[in-house]
Amino acid sequence: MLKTRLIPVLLLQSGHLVRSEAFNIHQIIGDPFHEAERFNQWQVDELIYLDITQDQKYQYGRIDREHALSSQALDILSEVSKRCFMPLTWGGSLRTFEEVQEVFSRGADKVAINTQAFEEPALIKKIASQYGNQAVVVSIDAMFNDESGKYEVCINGGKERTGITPEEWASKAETFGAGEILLQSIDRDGKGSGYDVELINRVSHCCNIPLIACSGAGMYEHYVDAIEAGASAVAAANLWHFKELADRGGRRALQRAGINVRI
Amino acid sequence: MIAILDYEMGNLSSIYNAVSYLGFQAVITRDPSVIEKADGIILPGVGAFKVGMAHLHEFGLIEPIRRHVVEEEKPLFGICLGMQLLVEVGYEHGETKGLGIVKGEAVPFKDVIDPKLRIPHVGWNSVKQTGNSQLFGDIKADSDFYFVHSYIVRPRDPDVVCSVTDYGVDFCSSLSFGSAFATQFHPEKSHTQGLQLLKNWLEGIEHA
Repeated sequence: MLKTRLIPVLLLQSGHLVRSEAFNIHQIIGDPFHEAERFNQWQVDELIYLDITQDQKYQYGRIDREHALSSQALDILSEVSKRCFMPLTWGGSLRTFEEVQEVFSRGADKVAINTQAFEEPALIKKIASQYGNQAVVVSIDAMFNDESGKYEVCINGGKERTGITPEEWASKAETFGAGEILLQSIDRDGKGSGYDVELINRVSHCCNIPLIACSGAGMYEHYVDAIEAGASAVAAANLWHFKELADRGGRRALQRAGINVRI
Repeated sequence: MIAILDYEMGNLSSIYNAVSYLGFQAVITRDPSVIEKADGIILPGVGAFKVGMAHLHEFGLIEPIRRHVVEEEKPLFGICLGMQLLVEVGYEHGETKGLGIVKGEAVPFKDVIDPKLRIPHVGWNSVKQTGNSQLFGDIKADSDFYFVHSYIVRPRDPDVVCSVTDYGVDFCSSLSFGSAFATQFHPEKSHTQGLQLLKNWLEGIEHA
């Protein structure tokens, strides 16, 4: 049977590897090439890179789209794709079809699109018809809205609330041709207290495409909770960077729970 | 020299990188005169059957591929959509004729498996070798390789099936017919075992 995937997420800002918490604090934690090499040696299932450099530019109101994509980040992609023989997903402030094309030509297998997909779902369709549905990962950031008692999708780096539920948006994204959903919880980001299983449960039941759960993993056992809640794959950022033998630890925890993983 | 066919269906650089990394010469091309001189062809591809065939037709690649495999019996390695296109017909929004090199059809997963299983089939899955191909060499009999697809190939002749993989149904994950070998999974995305498989194929051409 299909094995559950464990996926490291690498957050890039101005060419550095960073960590975040509640989508806010960004501290530099390392060098993306060194990390990619480590993951390559461990033969991890997949890699996801999210370049959040542009979010900063966007935040400061610099709408300089001429050299929109950080060339530094793209160079990292080119180098990594030459030496990593596993699937690579690239995302982060992708706004236009041309930017997406550039990312594919540099070696990415899939692109993760977030805000732009929400504002312009037709972009999902356009990318899917050229590169196939499986090449489009729609990334959804969600937080719990205490007033409404429901989860809510947030865009623009988690800063803007949309009033739409992630269940609704994921289902819509699927009809537009998304191949997978990457679900991040703003509340759980960087906390290490576990995935938001309620969120995962809700969204996974609203679509038939694979769901990659992200945000909140602090122990390997958290992976099990996410899979049991309906995720097809578990992604994590900090857990991979701050723990020795993260790959083996994660696999063992899933195996112990009777979940199929690559050994 | 290996020709990697560019018919605008997918990520060619990964395959090119893998072949180069293994120390072999490759060129990305859609020029029939270059293809004619190639010792081996890699037919990659991700996406829809219909669109794939339309592109092959548009770029005038159908005849060169058939000539290479059927007439000249030179090696071809099909990957993912590249494997699916080898058959006679694909069923997706109607019927589309394939290259017709291998007897069989390509059908959507959703028509044959439990609707609770998510599609596309994405991730690592066990490739159980049937013993019909020597290309797997020393690769363990049920190693995991990376898959990402929504369609499967059903060859008419069971002897062409080189490996079987389970996702709701036991489907053909690689096949061999004449000088054509093809995998539903992506060897260029499957770490050491994937590279080993490609290497075995490339070395076979070198020593021919």
